[in-house]
Amino acid sequence: MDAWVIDAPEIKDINPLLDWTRKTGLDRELRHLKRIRRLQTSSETQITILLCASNTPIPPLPPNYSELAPYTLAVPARAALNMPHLALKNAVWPTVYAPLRPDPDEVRALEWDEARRTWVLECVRELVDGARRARVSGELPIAAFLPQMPGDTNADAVKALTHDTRTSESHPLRHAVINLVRLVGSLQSQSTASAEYFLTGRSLFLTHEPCIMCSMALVHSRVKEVYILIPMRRTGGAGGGEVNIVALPNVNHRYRIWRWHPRERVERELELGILALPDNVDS
Amino acid sequence: MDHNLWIGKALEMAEEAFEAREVPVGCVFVRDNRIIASARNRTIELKNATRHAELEAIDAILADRQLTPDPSAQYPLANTTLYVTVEPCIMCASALRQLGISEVYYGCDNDRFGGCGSVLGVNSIAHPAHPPYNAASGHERDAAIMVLRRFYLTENSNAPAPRSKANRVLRTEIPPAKKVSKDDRDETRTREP
Repeated sequence: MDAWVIDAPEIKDINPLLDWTRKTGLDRELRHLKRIRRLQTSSETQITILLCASNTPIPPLPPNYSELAPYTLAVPARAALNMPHLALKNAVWPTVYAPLRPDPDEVRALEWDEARRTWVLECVRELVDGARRARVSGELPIAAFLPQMPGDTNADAVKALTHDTRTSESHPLRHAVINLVRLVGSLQSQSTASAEYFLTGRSLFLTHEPCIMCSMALVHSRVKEVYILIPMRRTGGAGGGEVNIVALPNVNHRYRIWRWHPRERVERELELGILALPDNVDS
Repeated sequence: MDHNLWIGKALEMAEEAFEAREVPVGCVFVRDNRIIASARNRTIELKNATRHAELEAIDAILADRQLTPDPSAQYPLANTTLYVTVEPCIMCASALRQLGISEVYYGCDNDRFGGCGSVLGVNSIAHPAHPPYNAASGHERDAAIMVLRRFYLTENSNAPAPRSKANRVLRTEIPPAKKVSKDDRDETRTREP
């Protein structure tokens, strides 16, 4: 990308010029770049100050600098993700170093104890069984499983396994998640005691990343965490592709998302063959 | 097409929700210049936080063989327009797109959950199968905001973890659209209990 820059005549001019970019709001642009570049030659130090992207108009310069002429320069378009990139980018313009952090959930999963692993694998087995039965009965092989937590003594914490029924019900919105939320609601309608949001604190297992509708339905239902086996990169709403509902600003509830690790997927290749879906389906 | 007439019908449904102590959002679906379904929020009654007005009406339309003669049609809401008092939430906006809705008109924005541009433009973002749809706000906006304010003014004892609102007073001044103040965002913040 190109950016407007300006050369500072002397070192003492740096602060007045930076004050001016702050006052005009220019300093809020191009956050991935440092404001100043110093180029050392044998005789002198050339100091250049970053203003804004080249497609942004520059406000009038302060009176005592009106003779300075801003010009455009090619600058890095993004922050550096690793050290080699940082060196390459810094050669063009000093750039912010912002390495991708390891996925915190992946790190935590390594700390699961044996009981937790066993529980998760057991839940995945029940989930995949549900999807297999759906496929055999002519439905899309998409399932949702709401287990009881180990040692949960709360009688209201119903266990539920649902699958997609859009084919048999001729209803394009009968997704596994929507069916599950409805089933749990109807079970709880019978017990008048419950005044909770209806999946508060619960864990949910899904064969496929939920579509945007279902991802938001889980926000509305206050689910605590969701385990997803297969990402839906083009239609999902839970971060497998472009859209991640729980990362949006303003949304008033967020659930944790656990993703099946690709290494594990190889072992379950057969089952995942059963679970295969076209990539344009909303699951 | 008289948008305000149809939004007026949606507001009647919102009033019905208010009377039933549900979050007062109402909608009507219009096809060939007549209402084919009208509905309002039923999340508390059904103990199901996803039973928003739009999904209630959609289920009625899809269950009716006169309104949906071909149950295997990919887009049963083609040639159908939605009028709803509040911007559809992200969930409903996605549901409408999956069903091929033709257009959406709504009263006020929903800055917490809005799926037609306020939080996420589900009506227009990239999708490998479903075409985008147009969504336009501002029809009977003041009335849509006022019915929500009246609702949130009361103690909503039906909602889980109700908050104390004893000190609230009903404000009647409504700031202009697109310059939503923090207070206003508060009033329109939620579609659910």
